[in-house]
Amino acid sequence: MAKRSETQQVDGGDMTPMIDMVFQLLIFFMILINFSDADQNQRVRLPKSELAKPPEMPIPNAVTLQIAPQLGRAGEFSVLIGADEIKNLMDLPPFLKREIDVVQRTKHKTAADMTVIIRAHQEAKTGFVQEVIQKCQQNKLEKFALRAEQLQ
Amino acid sequence: MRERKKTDMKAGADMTPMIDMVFQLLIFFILTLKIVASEGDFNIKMPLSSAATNDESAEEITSILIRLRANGSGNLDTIQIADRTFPGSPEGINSLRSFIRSQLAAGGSAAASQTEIELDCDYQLKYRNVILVISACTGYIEKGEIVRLAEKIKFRAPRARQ
Repeated sequence: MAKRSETQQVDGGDMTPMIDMVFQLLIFFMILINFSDADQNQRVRLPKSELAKPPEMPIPNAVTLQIAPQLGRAGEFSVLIGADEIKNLMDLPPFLKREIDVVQRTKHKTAADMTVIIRAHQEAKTGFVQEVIQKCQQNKLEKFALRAEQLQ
Repeated sequence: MRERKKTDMKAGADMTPMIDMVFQLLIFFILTLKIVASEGDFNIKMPLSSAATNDESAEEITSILIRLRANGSGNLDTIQIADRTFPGSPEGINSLRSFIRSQLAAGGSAAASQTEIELDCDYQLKYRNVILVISACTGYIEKGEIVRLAEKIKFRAPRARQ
């Protein structure tokens, strides 16, 4: 009889507090996770500014261009659109046209309604960033948002 | 005896798969969590030059041209506005902000929306300096609130690589 009682205690060890705790943690991490950051490349270190406040509403019809240092080539930068890396700016227009086409087909907006978010590395050459902007202008994109990290 | 068996079954409902699953989810969310600093934007409207000139003539926009010169290592050397020159140091940036404030104060209440800052930068200038100058021209923090200065910013055509 005494033996049976021991076995029952082992089987029925109260798991409720642990499960409660695990659920609390799960909910905490689920709320905290932010999938919208998925388009941030880890190679890009944004410049900092105290005026860079996060926008209250997400920018509609936006295309994000990231200017990141090239791997293994110091001082050289490339443009990232989604998963594509463009090392030569002459190759950029077809990618811009592809993004514009997507917005035109899905949202019936023109290039002039789109905003180009530029996430450029803080050490990038300004001339290179300007050349990227110029390529966008040649494709009738005219609104730009220069992204910076908020300085605390 | 029958009743007792029923109670045993209820107490021993197998929780193992659920706990396994919850741990899997927990580990997934812990690993995918990235704590990132918040980011903000400086908005620039910059159509091609032909379209821009038409808009400007209609709104009578005053343009302030700022020339940013870089030194050999790409850092900001000097900031030049008309005949005034500021050093590229933090003090120089503060002087630039004071200058823009005085210009806008002299221009009246609508000056902020009618003044356009045009940046003419050296090719090799590091981009963070441009953001510093744009910050200085577009506003400042006073008592925790942002006070806006010039609203319109644009770039001059890029200079040739040196």
